[in-house]
Amino acid sequence: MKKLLVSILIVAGLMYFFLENKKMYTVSVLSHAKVADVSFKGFKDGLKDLGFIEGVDIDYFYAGATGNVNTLQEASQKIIEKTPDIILTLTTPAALQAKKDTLENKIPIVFAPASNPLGAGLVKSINAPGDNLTGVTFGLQEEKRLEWALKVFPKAKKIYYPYNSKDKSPVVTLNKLLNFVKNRDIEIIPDDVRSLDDIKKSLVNVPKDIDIVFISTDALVASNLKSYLEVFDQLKVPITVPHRQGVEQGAFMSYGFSLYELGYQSARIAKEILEGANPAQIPVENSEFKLSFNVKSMEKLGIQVSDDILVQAVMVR
Amino acid sequence: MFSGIKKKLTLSFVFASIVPLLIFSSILLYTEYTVQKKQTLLLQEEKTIRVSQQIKGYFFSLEKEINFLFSITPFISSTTQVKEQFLSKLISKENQFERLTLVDKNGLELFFYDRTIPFFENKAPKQSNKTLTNQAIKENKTIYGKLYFHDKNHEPLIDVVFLIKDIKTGLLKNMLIAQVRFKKVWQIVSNTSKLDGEEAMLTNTKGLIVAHKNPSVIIKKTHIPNVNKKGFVKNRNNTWVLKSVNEFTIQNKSFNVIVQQHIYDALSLSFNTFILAMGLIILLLLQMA
Repeated sequence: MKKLLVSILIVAGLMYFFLENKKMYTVSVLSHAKVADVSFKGFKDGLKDLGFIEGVDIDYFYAGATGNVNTLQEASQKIIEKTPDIILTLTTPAALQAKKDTLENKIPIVFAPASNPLGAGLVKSINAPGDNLTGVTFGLQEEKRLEWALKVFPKAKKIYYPYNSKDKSPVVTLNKLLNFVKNRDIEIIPDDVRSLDDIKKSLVNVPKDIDIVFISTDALVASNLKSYLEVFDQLKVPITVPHRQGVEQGAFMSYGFSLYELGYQSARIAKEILEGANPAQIPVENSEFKLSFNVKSMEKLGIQVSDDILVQAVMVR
Repeated sequence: MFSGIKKKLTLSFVFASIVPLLIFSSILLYTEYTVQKKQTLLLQEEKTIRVSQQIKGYFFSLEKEINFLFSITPFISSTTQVKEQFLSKLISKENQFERLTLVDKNGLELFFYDRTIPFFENKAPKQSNKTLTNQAIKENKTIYGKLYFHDKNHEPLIDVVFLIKDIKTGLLKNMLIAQVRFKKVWQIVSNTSKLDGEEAMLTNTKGLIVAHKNPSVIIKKTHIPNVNKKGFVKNRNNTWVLKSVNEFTIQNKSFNVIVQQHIYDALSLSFNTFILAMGLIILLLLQMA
């Protein structure tokens, strides 16, 4: 009897050796812009579809968007104390902060998104990031978005560009746009807004003769789209935004990515890292983008867009 | 005397139970191994052929669609604005192209329509892909160029030159150089591997992966060693896989569709039988001890 028990125990031990030992992973999220929360939803759904069930295989820690770039450092410290398997950053400033705070512990960071990760100094190269960061970017189409806006409004002369000069991404975009309009009879009117208060103040005195509002890949400004819509809808000025969520919120048009799809795409990268891949060797991917129009906004602003253009777009109703 | 009997009994037990079990297990294992290997390879081969046909079919239909559009649209006589709209609609269609460049019959660029870069009208016209356009003119047919990678997003691209002829005279007027993306091919390849530990990919003749379910593998410009070798091979991660390859051509460009599966997954039944047999033998030996 004793022998039989010992035998069973040894065989059970051997079987256990062959069975996979499952680990519970943790992902902490860092963001300062509520607008980017959609990306986190896509990320979670993506990992779920890849077999990571929340509460069983993976846990998420997200205290919500900090609402301010200046409070990112504090939030980042709290996240790092938890020593997660991955830090998911939802904005470029958040990715920069996380990079700075993980110089020693090298916790892998997945950005979803970061615009112009090369220009912002997040990665050394797109196909070999070279550090503990990788993720999904989108920043290739901003001049093209302006080209589309000018196709819809060929007579547009003044483009209002509210941006946060503390955020590298809209600064890079501004320079690209200024270059694009250099030999054209078009003026870009930049308006530096660094906080919610700045936005509120600037919206009281917006220039009245502008033709298009160009919301850039700027987390602060994009997070306050509602305030811009309230003002510019009354002035009957169309707003173009960098992502489709903005169009779903009421902006007139976009030639951009879907934050949800981008988050979903980044889940596969996170899976690779959780399975042992080195983020330094995982290339930064680009999100797909499409032209989109908001039909209600079109009607509200009384704008006619030709069918030739509309057939190429995603219509948000 | 008793120890001698015990020894004999033990030996009898070994011969009566363990040896037949070992022989039976070995035969079963070998049979299972050969059958499973054969079945896996057959299934893989069937998949490689199916994927190759789907990819060929995709490029063929793309070519056919564009040539058809040019045949039913008065493209040559249209204004630049209409031509632009035409290309714009083409490029918006499922993001299949990176850039569409319209050139005259001498290969001089008239304008382009790009997914991400706006066209600057004041730019001086340049010669676009001279070798390829000359070849298309010479052979009087649609020509596929070399495979290359986008300098910014590092996605693979292939140039295809289409001839646009005057409907009345049949003379060559313009050419369209399409930078075709591989996103659709990625989808075809991604939908192929559903089994545990299995992966499918498309490579060029040098083993450079251009389509895979994981874009990272493509963007990194990963090469697969011994691209044409079938059966048991070491893959790019230095692990053993069971692999099938099918080579096919699109015009004169050769590609390989590879379907491979990790040996533990490919021969899982044999491995399970082996573990079970070993477990039983260990159990019997322990009982004897």
